[in-house]
Amino acid sequence: MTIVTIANQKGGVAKTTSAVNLGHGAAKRGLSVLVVDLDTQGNVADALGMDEGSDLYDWLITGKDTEQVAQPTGRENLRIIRSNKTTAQLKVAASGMDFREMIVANALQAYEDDLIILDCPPSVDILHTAALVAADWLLIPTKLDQFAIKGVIEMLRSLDSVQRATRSNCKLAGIIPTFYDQVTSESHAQLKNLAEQYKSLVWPPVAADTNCRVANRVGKTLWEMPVNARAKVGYTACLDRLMKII
Amino acid sequence: MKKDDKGFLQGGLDPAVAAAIGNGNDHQSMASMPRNERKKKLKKKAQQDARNGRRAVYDMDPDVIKAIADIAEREKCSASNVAEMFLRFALSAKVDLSQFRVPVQHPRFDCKLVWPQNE
Ligand SMILES: Nc1ncnc2c1ncn2[C@@H]1O[C@H](COP(=O)(O)OP(=O)(O)O)[C@@H](O)[C@H]1O
Ligand SMILES: [Mg+2]
Repeated sequence: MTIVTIANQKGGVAKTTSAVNLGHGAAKRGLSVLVVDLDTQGNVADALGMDEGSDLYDWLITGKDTEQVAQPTGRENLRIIRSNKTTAQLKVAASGMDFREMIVANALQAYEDDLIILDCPPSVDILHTAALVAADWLLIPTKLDQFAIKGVIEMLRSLDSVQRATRSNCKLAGIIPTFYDQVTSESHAQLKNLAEQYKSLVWPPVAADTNCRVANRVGKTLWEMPVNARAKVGYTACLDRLMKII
Repeated sequence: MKKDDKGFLQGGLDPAVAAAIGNGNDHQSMASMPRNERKKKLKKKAQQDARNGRRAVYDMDPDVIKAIADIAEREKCSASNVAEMFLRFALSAKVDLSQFRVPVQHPRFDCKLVWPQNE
């Protein structure tokens, strides 16, 4: 079992898009996959065309078993743990618990899927920390704008402080450049910048592609969209890299 | 170059990243070129692609082009891929084309192959 957390303190950098498409992609390659939504917005269910739900609360606070709360998605090998507004209450309830940074790791103990993807909220809260504690690997999606590197550095600092304060074994798996646009000089300059700093840790860039928005709106993954969706190329190459760490 | 335990070049870039940066570099240098120079360069690149032997340009009836595009969409693959499969299929069946031959007045060709219309 491999646990990957997808995180960046910035919103709108394609965390959820990456979680859902890498998750479904890995499921299509035959792995049993669980995607856990740690965000109050309930984006994962949305992105898969499902209703939001209080699975995360039931799982972490009520103490229901993973098997009980993991929802089938109508896609082979792919299940999710949904989130909704109750996740805000969850954070309050969790803040009074002992070893609260362990809640996700504990809940996942004795659970046996091949791949678990944790989709993080764009904030540094208890769930963000708990995800880094539970995970084997951290994957950072980032837009290619002038704040990109700053976001990555912030995230790595956060990982570092979690590693110091806990017994987290989480390592940086890679950085996914998203919204990549070959034509704009900013995109190009930032990709070069990332590659210079992080070398082989930079994963294949995912092109800016309106198919991502459309897919999101109609509750489908990119793999369920017409062939010529450009972002598929990047995510396919990212999947190849993901498979190497599972 | 040495590879690490995951099969990646040590310290090297992911091939997809290296390719993207390479393409972007080309693009940036093109963008800063004067217009006619850029045109020349584009033409040269098209010729190079053709010379590499992996690209050919054929004129076809728009209906056929559309049919291939439709099949590509259905099969979730590229149109070139569909065209190649059909041609391989026809080649392996050793189709006799002489039955479609019609003589024409043309500076370069003696005949034309015509698909029977009323089918
Ligand atoms: N490669 C892309 N090209 C264009 N739009 C994208 C791309 N990736 C994601 N999006 C869109 O950007 C928005 C934010 O993405 P999302 O995955 O929700 O980000 P996050 O989870 O980091 O907040 C969504 O509407 C999504 O459909
Ligand atoms: Mg999100």
